[in-house]
Amino acid sequence: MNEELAGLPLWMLSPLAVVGAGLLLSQVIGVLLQSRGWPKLYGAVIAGLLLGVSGLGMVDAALLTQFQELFNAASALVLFEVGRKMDLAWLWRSGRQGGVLVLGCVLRGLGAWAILIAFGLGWGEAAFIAAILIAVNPVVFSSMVSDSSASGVATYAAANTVGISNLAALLALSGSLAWMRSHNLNAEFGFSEELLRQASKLALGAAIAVVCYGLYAMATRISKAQAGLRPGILLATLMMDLGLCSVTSSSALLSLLLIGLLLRNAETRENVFQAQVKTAQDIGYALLFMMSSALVQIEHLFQWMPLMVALLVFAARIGLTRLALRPSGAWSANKKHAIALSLCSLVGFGSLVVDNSMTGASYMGDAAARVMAALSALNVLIGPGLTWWGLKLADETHEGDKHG
Amino acid sequence: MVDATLEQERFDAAQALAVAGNGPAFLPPFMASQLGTMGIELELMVLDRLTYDLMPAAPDILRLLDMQSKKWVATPEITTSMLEVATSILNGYEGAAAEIEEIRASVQRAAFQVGAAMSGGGAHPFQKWNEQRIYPKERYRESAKKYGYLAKMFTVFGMHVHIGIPNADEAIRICAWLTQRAPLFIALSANSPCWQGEDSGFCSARSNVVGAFPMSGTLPSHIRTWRHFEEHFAHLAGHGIVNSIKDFYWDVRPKPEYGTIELRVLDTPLHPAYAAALACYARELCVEVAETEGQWPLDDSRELYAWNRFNAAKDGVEANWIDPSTGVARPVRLVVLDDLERLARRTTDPGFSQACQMIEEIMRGGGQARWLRSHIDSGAGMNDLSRVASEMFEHPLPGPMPAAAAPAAGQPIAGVRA
Repeated sequence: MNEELAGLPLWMLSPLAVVGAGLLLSQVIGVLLQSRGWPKLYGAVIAGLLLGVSGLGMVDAALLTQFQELFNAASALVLFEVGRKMDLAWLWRSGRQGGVLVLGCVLRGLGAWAILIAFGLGWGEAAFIAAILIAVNPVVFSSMVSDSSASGVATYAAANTVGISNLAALLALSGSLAWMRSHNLNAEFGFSEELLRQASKLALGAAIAVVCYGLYAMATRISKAQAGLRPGILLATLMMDLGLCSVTSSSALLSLLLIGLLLRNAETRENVFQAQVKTAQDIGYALLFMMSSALVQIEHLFQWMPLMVALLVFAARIGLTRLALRPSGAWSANKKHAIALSLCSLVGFGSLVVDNSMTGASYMGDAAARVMAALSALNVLIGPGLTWWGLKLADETHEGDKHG
Repeated sequence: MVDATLEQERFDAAQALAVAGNGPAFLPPFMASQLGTMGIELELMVLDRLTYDLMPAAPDILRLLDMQSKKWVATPEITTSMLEVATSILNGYEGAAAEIEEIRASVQRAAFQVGAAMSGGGAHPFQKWNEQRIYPKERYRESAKKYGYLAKMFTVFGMHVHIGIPNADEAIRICAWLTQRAPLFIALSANSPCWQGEDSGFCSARSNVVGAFPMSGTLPSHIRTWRHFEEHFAHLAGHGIVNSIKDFYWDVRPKPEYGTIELRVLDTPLHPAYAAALACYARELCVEVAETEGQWPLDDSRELYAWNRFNAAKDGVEANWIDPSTGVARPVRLVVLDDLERLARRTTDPGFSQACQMIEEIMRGGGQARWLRSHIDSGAGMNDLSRVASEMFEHPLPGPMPAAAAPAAGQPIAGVRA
């Protein structure tokens, strides 16, 4: 082992240097792709596949565990941003529009559940995976919106849905996780006790969000900081929130989403400092996606049954989202297609618990784990592309619009 | 009757081709209309509900408005964050105020359905011109090719008032008179103090944007009849400079196909209700001038007009205006109050006194630009300024405010969260 290590270049012994090199590679490939009209995020996908477990094996779960705090912080920024894009007043008062977006989330979960059961998974396992599949991947969606400078009504509706879907997934996951744990061979508690434990994690996460938001509001008022000076205060608040969630094992996703939600909906005045955090976000997107790509094992796509299930689930999620949008007259048919496509990406178990070292494999049997792995691989390969296509279909991107 | 209809259709077709740049230059004959009828056009901002930046959602809002049966019209403008609405033909203040409120409520509702916000105001405080998108329509693409970056810079929001004039020569004469008083309307409507993220130092930054276009300015003073105007048009069309009446970006211009003259200098008011009052003021001035047959302004120098225009854009209702008839400089506020008092005595519009009250309300506290500046002075940023303007648009105005309730400088605007 020591001889093997001695044979490696010195820089490869530093995990930080390896991750840095991967990020550099993803940026270079991304910029090259962007100049040819392709999504920049695929730079991170290619770099992740080249350096990760499907390629050279330089980046793996063991290495990434060393940076867990860094990745969690990057996730925090993304989830906060997702919460900030949720417009509760619009979702509630728009009536049908808000309703169909919620319906889309419900149908995605039910559809995935039905397909997984049809392919022989136990209903508990299927419910566990289906709960995860309700959520839309915030990193894929946000980075694609940022990459293509998308802005418009379809982008707005989809951004709201990303938040709703993650909250709905979190609630559904709590129930299914409680069921799975209480029916485990080594179960310590019954279903109701497990459900209470999961609910208390959510409640604690929400409480931490409220406390941290209160501290943020107090700090900005004491210092009378105007919008341009607030990102630093906000970043400190998010770090505190994440840290408190981590030590109390409470739901960081809910907590971070809630802070964004509170900032958007409880505080109207000077509610904007997007430009100041944009660069950090762009790097965060690339980092997170390179990491998830690095952990993808492409060989999972070479097994035809998991691949078929994964493809079917992917298509069903898009189709059911589109179906849910039918009753609303606010968007044209084209915009509805676009919304459904741009919401196609999915998350892993780790994203929902804001700990990317967790895979959820311990709650699944072999068949379910293979399907989930195929879905993750498919998500990395085609999720960003379909999201990008959806945004272009809505005609809400800023690409190619010179002076006319 | 059939012949007249066919001829009208032929004019319309030729005009449409000329406007689109697909046909030869065409100036339709001036269609006579009843003196004192009026129409109001408002260019409105479409905003993102989070950042209050401009949002390219006008096509989606127009799609919903097209489904609604209505006597007014909603049309696209040069960039996709702009929405234009135009009233039907109106006869007085009460009808105008009612229709404008119907428009406000409808547009607000449609915008909310798709997740956008609406706002009045002459210029968005922090939009970046290079981020705007040209509306996907041939005429606007042609404009973008012709004017380059100016087309996107023209993402400014104005109010136009059409006043019906019975004959073509009178339209030219009344144009000349109304042009002299156009700076008063710039001052009254001024509400665009910020431009591209900075305080411009002007009350109406929008007014300076129009000047970059080659055909901006005023009706040349040598034009005294419709025949003169036709010759002027033919001369410019011969050089390929203009193709239709829409190529004249004058502050006041004749609109032959409608039988109107069009006052084009106003910033879109922060609240649409103000538009009805300002339009009635312009209408009454035209009706008054129409009774002084054959009289022309004594001093029609461009320099004097440019100076009055500059001052009005710079200082709004706190500016001085040099009366071209007497050469005496007086505060805009006093000139307007005198005008309103004189016009109120002779008007036949039963609602004009309400319009006068509304205009007095606009002038309180230094005018709309000063209301917005008071927010900046109290520490608000550009996004917040945009939010404040948007929230003013959201609700109907509860009638003219009593003097005590009108916003003073440094005080927040009534009905808007601080």
